[in-house]
Amino acid sequence: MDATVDAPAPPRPGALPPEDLSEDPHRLHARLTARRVVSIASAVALLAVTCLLAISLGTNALSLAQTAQILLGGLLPDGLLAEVSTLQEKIVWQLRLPRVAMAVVGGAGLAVTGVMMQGITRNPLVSPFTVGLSPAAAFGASLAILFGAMELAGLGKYLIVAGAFCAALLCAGIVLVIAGLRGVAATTMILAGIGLTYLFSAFTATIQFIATEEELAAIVHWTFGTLNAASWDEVAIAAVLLAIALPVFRADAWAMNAIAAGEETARSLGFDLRRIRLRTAILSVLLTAGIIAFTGVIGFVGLVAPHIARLIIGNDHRFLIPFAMAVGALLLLIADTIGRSLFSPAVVPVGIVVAYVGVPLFIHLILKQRRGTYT
Amino acid sequence: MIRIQSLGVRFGSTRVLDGVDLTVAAGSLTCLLGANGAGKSTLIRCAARILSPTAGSIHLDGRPQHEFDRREFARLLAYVPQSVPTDTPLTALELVQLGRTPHLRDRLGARDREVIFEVMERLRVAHYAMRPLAELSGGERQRVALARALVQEPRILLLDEPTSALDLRHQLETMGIVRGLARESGLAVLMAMHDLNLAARFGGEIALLAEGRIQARGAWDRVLTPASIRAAYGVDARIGRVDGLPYILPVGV
Repeated sequence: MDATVDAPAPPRPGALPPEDLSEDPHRLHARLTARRVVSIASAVALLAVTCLLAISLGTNALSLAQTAQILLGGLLPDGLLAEVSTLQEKIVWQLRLPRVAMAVVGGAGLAVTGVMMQGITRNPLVSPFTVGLSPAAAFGASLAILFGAMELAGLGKYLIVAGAFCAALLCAGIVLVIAGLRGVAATTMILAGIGLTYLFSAFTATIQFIATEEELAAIVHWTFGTLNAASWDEVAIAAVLLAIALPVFRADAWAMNAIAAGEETARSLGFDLRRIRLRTAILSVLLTAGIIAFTGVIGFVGLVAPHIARLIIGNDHRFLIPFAMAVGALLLLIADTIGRSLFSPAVVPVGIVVAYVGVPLFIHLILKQRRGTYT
Repeated sequence: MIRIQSLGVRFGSTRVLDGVDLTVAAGSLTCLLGANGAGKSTLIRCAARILSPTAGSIHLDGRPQHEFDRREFARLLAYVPQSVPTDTPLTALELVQLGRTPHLRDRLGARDREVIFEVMERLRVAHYAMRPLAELSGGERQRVALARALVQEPRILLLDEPTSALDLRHQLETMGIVRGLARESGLAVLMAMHDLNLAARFGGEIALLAEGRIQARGAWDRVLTPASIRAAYGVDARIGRVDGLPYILPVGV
C-alpha cells in the first residue's frame, strides 16, 4: 500500500551535486585517509626541517651541513659533511638540542592536552589552563622563589620546578573534586577555573608585594615562560609524562568523536564517559603541570594549536591528535627560535613570542575557514 | 526482543513511571504514544540504559539488561535520542561512522565501510555525507542520526521521536524503512512518537502511555478510540479510514 514511497527521491532544490558518496565508498575512504595521513606526514617533515634550522641558528651560527655532521657525529667519519669544533659540538648537544627538544615535547604535550580537554567538555574554549593551572604554577614558583630558592645554587631550580608542579596539582585536585561532585561539565570546570585563577593570582600578587626586588624580577621572569634553562633531564621528565599519557589519549580517540555527537549518543555507543573523562582530565593535568613547571607559563599553545589543527585536518581525533601535536611543537619551536634570534643575543621569552606568532595565524585561519567543512 | 516488567522511575518525589509492562518481540514495531511528559522518553532511556529505573526489570533477549558489558550492549541495542546536537563539528559521515565503534578496534574495515555506505544510501543521506551536521536541516540531521543507529546492526532499536522534524515524504519513507527492517531483519523496534496517523499506519502495535502507566496496548484500532485519545491527550478526535489507510483527526480540545 506504500508503493509510491519506494520511488527514488527527486533531486532536492539546492542540494549539493552528489559527488560525495556516489564514488566507490572504499575509494572515498582511501582518499580521505590518504589526505589526512599526508597532512600529518607533511607537518612532521616540516617539524624536522624546522628543528634543523633552529639548531643551526643562534649567536654562534652553524651551517646546516655542520649541524648534520654534529647530530650524526657518531655515525659519520670526522669532517665528512663539514668541519666542526668541539665548542660547536658542545653548543649543539648541551644548549640548542635540549632547548629544541623541550620546545617540541612541550608544544606537542600542551597541544594534545588542549585537544583532549576540549574533547571531553565539548567546548572549544577549554584547555588545561582553563582550570587555573597557570596562575597556580606561577604561585608555586613564586613561593619557592620567596623562600630563597635563588640562593640555593644548584637545588634552587628544582625547588622552583617542584613548587610550580605541586601548586598546579593542588589546583587541579580542587577542580577535579569539584568536577567529581558536580560532573565534568565544561561550565563547571570553567567556573571553577575562573575562581581559582583569581585566587592564585591574588596569592602571587601578595608574594610579589612582599618580595625583594631581585625576587620580584625572578618571579616576573618565570611567568613569562621561557625555554632558556632547558636541560636534558627536564626534557626526559616531560617526555616520559607524554609517553605515559599519549597511548591512553590515542585509545580514546573514538570516544572523543562520540562525545562530539552528544552525551546520550556516546553513552549508547558503549563509552564509559565518567571514566574516560576522569582519566583524560587527570593525565592532561599531570602532563601540563609537568611541562609548565619547567617552562613557565606558555599556555596559549594548548588553546590555539588544537584549533589550528582542527581547521586544517578536521575533527576526527584519530588524525587530530597527532596533527595537533605536530602543530603545537612547530608553533612553540618557531616562536622560541624567533624569540632568541630577533634581538640576539637578548632572548625574548617564548611565552610572549608564541602569542605574536600564533594569534595572527589563528585569526587568518578563522577568517578563511570554509564553514567547518573538511574537504 | 525486549521485555520490560513493572518498571518504575521517580525523579525526587515525582513518579514518572509506575508499574510499566511492555514487551517488544523480534520482528515487530511498537509505537509508544502519550502526551508531553507522559514518560515516553523516560521509558526509552531506561531501556537504553541511559537512566536507571527505581523499580522493575528489563530483559534483552532473555538476559537482564545490566549483565551486558557496554560494547556488547551497544552491538545488541541502538538508541537514537530525541535531538542530535547542532553544536557539533562532526560531518554526517563522521556521525554515521560512530555507529560502527561497538564493532571496531580502531580501524574501519572494508565491511564497516560497506555497511555505512549501504545504510546512508538507503536513508538517502549519502549525498551530504561530507557536510557538517550543523549545516543540515533538522530533518536531514534526524535521518543521519537514524543511519548511525542502523549501522550498529542492532537487534533492538529504540527511537525517540524519529520523525518529528521530517517532511511528509521522508516521514513515510523513514517509517517504511524502519518497518521493513523489523519485518525482514527481525529487529525489535520501540518508537516514541506524537503522530497518531503514522503510528496507526505503520505501528504493528500501539502502546498508549498516560499517568505513568501503559493504558492500552495492541492493534491501532483497538487502542486508539475517541475515549482513549480523550483520556490521554484531552482532545476530541474523529477516527476513520480513507482508501484503507487509517486517519485520526483531532477536532477540538
